[in-house]
Amino acid sequence: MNPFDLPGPAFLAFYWLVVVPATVGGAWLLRRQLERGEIPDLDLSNPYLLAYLRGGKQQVVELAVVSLVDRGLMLTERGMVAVRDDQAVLAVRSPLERDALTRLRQIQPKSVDALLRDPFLDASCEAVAEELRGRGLLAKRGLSGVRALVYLLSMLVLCGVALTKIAIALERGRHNVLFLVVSAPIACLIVRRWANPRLTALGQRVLSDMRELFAGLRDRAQTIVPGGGTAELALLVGVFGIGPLPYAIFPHKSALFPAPLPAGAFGSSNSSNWGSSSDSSSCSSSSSCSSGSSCSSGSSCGGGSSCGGGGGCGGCGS
Amino acid sequence: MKVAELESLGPVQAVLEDFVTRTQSAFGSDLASVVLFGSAAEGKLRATSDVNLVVVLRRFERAQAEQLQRPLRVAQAAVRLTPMFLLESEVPAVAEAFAVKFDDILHRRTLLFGTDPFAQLVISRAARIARLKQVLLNLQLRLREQFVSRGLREEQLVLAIADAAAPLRSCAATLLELEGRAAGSPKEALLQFVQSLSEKPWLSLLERLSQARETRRLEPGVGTETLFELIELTRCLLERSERLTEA
Repeated sequence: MNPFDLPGPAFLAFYWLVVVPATVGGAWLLRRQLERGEIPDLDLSNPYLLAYLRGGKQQVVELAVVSLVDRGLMLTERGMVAVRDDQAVLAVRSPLERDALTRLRQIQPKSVDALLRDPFLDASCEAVAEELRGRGLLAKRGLSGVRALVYLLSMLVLCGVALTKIAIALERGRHNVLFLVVSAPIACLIVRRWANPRLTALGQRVLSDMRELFAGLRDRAQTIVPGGGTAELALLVGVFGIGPLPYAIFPHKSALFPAPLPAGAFGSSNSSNWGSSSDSSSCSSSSSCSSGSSCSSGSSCGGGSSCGGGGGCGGCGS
Repeated sequence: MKVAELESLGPVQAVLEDFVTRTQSAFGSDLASVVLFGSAAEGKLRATSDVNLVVVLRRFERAQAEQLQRPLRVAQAAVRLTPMFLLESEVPAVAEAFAVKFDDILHRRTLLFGTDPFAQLVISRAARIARLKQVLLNLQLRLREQFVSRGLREEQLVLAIADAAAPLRSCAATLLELEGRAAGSPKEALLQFVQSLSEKPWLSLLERLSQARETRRLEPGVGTETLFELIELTRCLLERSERLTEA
């Protein structure tokens, strides 16, 4: 059966149910194939690269706040943050953290939300983004290179099919082609959106690899020792966001990153909305999962002083 | 056995391979060997286990060591990699000073790079006895302090119990060997030691100890009793170690 012989409504159904999904799927597969490559040698000790890759500026700002507060270089009170003192700016090595502290000193105290709206980190974030683009992990601005080619091919298919049918219809003396005339550009817009996601296929693969590499870290998040002695807390937030960050390790979480309460959170005796802070295993990707549950202050967590003393007996006894 | 053969370690293998490569690149000809020891060397790594390495160097230079700072932070976060940086010349002295740990290394190790720095290593009996007593005393003091300071918080007690497992097992292995009764693994050594005690049924304690170590969780309400029993068990080990003779 020749689909171009289908009557108008049936052809429109064929166009939207077969041609458009097939073109979108084909474009997606072709783009993935063309954007493949060797995993680049990324500096994994820089959690800001991973945070930006995962969710852009919002994730970077949240990570900077968590990391700097954890290390005592940023202070927090009533949901606001401020720089500890003048020495704090000199103590950090990361340009991004230095920019954050320098700017915060001028405008402090500020909430994390206000920091997010302030353009102070735009330049630093752009430097991170440029590095990620240079390594082929983040899509270039606009539609260019491989993506432009894929989009062009998709447009040719979508418009070609539509124009062919229109031509046949007109030839047969039918003029009810308005729906098809409108459908083709809409389909092209849909393909454009699918053809140009924020991350490249390689970037998605790196992100997925990172989640796998640090899966153990997420599982043992409760045992992280606060204070910045290791990169564990920063990498946890960099790779997974603040969702899996336990309140016991970072008691300021709910004050600094208040999540909007879901409807009915107070309405029933079922307190499932006030669950534990650390089980966000399903919450691994986007910026929308930044705050985990809506548990309040975590005041019962005890400050995470779990490292014990050792009673003054040092040495490598075990 | 090389890293490439450590298939039982799963994702840890890739991190180890990368870290060994970066260590080679950082220290160059000053790197003598890299040795994996502990449960990872036995292929019995658990989610909560540390991955222990000994990096033996000819020199420890600042510029070289700095190159390893970033890779180490990543490896620590990814798989709890815990390296010990030793100079070749320090091996005998360090082995004597930390005899229980090195006793464990002598029994459970895998060479990942270079030549085995411990192949000819002999730790004196006197040093092993002295260190065994010191470690047990240290553990006992620490457990008492944790019992008092964390006793009101069950989940904190469980962490203390979990952290006591490795030194207790290593001490049991060293003790049995010093008594001339070598056991298989440190875990088996502790079991063997417990079975040799007639005073109390300790087997359920060992089960709880393993559970705490592997899952960082225990049944509600048993933490206090378990930690106190560990103090008792440590005392038993210490008493037995007091009977050892240096000859």
